[in-house]
Amino acid sequence: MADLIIERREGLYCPPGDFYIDPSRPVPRAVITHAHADHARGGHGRVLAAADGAGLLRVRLGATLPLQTLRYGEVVVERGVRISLHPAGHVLGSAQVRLEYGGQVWVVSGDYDCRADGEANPTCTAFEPVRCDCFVTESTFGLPVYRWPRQALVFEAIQAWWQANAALGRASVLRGYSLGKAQRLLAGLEAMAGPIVVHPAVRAVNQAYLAAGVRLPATLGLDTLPGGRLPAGALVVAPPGLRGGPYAATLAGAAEAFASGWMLLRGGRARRGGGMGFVLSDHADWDGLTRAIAATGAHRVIVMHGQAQPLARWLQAQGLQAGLFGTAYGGEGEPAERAGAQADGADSLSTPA
Amino acid sequence: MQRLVVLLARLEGADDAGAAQALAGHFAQPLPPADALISALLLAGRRGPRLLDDAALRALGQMLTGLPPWLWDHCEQEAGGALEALAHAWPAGDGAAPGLAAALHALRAMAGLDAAARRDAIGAMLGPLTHPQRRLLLQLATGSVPARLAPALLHRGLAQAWHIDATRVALRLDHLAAGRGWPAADGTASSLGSPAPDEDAQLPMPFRPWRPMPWPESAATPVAGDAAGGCWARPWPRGQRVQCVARAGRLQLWSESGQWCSPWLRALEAPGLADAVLEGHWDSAPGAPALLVHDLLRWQGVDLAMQPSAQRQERLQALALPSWMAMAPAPQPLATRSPGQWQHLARQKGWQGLLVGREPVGDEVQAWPLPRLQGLAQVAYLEWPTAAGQAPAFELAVWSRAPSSAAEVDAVEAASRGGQRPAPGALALLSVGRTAQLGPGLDAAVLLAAARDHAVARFGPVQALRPGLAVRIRFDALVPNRRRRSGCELAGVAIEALVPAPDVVTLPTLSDLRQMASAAADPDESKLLAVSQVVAAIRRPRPG
Repeated sequence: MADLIIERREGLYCPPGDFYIDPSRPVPRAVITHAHADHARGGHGRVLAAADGAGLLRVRLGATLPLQTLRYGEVVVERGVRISLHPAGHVLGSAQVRLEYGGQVWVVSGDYDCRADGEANPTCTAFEPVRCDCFVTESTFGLPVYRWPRQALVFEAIQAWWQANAALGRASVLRGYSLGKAQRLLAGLEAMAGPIVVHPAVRAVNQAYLAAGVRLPATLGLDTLPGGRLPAGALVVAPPGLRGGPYAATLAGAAEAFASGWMLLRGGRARRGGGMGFVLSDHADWDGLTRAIAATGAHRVIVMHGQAQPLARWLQAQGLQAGLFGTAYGGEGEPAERAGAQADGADSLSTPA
Repeated sequence: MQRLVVLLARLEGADDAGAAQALAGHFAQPLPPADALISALLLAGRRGPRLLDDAALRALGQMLTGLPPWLWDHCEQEAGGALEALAHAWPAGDGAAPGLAAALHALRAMAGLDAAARRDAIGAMLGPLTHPQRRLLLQLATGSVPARLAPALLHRGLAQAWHIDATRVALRLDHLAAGRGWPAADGTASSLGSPAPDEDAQLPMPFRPWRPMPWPESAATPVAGDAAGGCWARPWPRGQRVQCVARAGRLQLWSESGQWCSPWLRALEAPGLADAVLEGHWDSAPGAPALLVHDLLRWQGVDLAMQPSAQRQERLQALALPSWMAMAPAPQPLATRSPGQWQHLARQKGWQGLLVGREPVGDEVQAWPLPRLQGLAQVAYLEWPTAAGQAPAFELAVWSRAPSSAAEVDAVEAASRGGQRPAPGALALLSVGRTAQLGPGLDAAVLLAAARDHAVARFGPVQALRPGLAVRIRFDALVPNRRRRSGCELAGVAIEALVPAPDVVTLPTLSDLRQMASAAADPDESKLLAVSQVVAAIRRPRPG
């Protein structure tokens, strides 16, 4: 029986349904798993996405986006292919795409974060395993060295760092990607040492989260501070960027930190070049990936982007039929952040770490 | 152990020295003495037992993780080494970490085990730990704990925690390191709170206050005879002023700021100096004698500091110095008839020297202050104090030329906020000096608050300043400095007062400063300035 998903230059293609999933070039019909810019590109004829992420997609791709939305679990039939979207736990509105046709069930994961109980991302619906014959999975952090620490420990460390800076009379700048990571940080922080200030790029995304009913703490805008000065003990949540730009003077002298899964290993922190690193990711770690794959019950797994080769080989060693897809998706927040922040007029951006 | 894990992570992310020093101080305070002492020794560069090499780490990693070799290789490559891979490549424990002293002594006890037993024992210790704790334990077991703190910062930080002087912290750590032992796990053996043997005799003696004096070589003309009341001078020496303390076969080197510099000595010895304190300048230039000695402050247990300089020099000349020391040129008698010429040379060319005066009674170092100049400047930025007892430093700036209007200044500020650098020759605010010295009656907190309101905080662009705050400054001279864009630097500068924000166009410019300095070169023409010609004797602040 023919595969339900194949690779084409434009991206992942479903031949019987004649549509693409997260295509990198304009196509007549696209299913988009989430709003990060390496997955959500403009110019498509029609777009299908999860209802929870509609606001974000419109922020990113424009209000006139020809968007059709589905609630999680709702089914639409396209040329005989039953399509449904299921929570991926990555960012608001992120979805796995389930395709059913000719007795086969395939699931394309998009980016996902599969955590143990109590560790799920509080700003979106938690990952839900979907039984299938073939699971197309991402593998950004697909090596056993990537195992995330408990979130409570990470947020404790962030709060302690913030309070120590405030005690020294310094503001704190916590950098994280403006879509998803920034909101996850905000949802986990308590304004104990001072007020929380957000970069305009983060605020634009926050509004979409708030409109979707996600609870975020009260914040001040970096661009609307009286006199352009940070309040005492402030914590600024901002996208990764070079020092300089319109807020250089406001942020001068502040202590810097970066939140990302890449901060787990010494090399990742060194490449980031200075400042504290906090390990917080919206992607599944090794345990999450292997747990998610096992939960699908799939006998065939296709691995894409990140550490695809070692994960596929490991799955083969476990007796699964495993292969590779080559995609143009980035790692944690990379192209998404670059494109999104530019659109929002953020500071110039550094190489993501 | 967990506290050291946190400290190492924070130090890795610390972006300035003050923050790192404060971290070291806060870290040590609540620790049990043995843990604190071991942490201090590790941060000072002491290495733990080397129980595992790379091959053993790989073997341990594969044993604990159960990963096939090909996947372990991927992990090692991604993590940048076997240690980092082993710390992360298997699920974390509950974080029930032992104390640092207990962990270190458990590791040391494994030194006698064979390789397999050692791997098993270390594996059992790693099991309950979190990933960062595992990294530290493995660093302890491989002798690779990173010394992330400069010694001076470590000493000052620990001095805060122990409420003792940083010089004593340095000596005690050095003593413990020399003993090659580690503190007992119960903390009974030693602590930074206990003096090292013969500690006082290894501390530096008070440095007599020196002030850079004008040193025009052409003016150093011999004076006939030994004119009591005459002056001697020597060129300002190259290098860093230090004291070398020899005591019972050990050498300690101290800088004028109290920094422990003994590591500079490496394997240098001074067998002929059993008990002596020599003062000189440390010159790190290759080929030169390392220490240029110019004074002898203690010899064979006798304090010579209060003796006349001539007697000390006589004893010094008689010493057999090791090859890495050399005598500094003796002070030369100096004609004092042309102070104006001195001042001119000092201010225009930045010549400096040490002026040594002799008075009829005893021997005093005299400071011959230049007439102090007075002007206005702006606080361009400030460095906030990051530790207790540290003074804020203020960077001072003046305009490159007189602004034609407030609008021109606003345009400069707007351009700067946009990240643009001023074009050559365009109006710009130029940094001309840096100081932490405040005049009497000026409250640092008031100045800090005012500076914060009117200046960009630390590291802000100098050009992004509206001239809302001016400070009255006093300074000795305006000397050349190629490293500054202004081409010059204020010497001996102090902030005297805050003044009301003056009109933009009346703020002093660089040429105003040059004019002040130039005019002051001739005392007769120094009409703009309050000139003091007093030769002030600075009495050495030491009685025994």
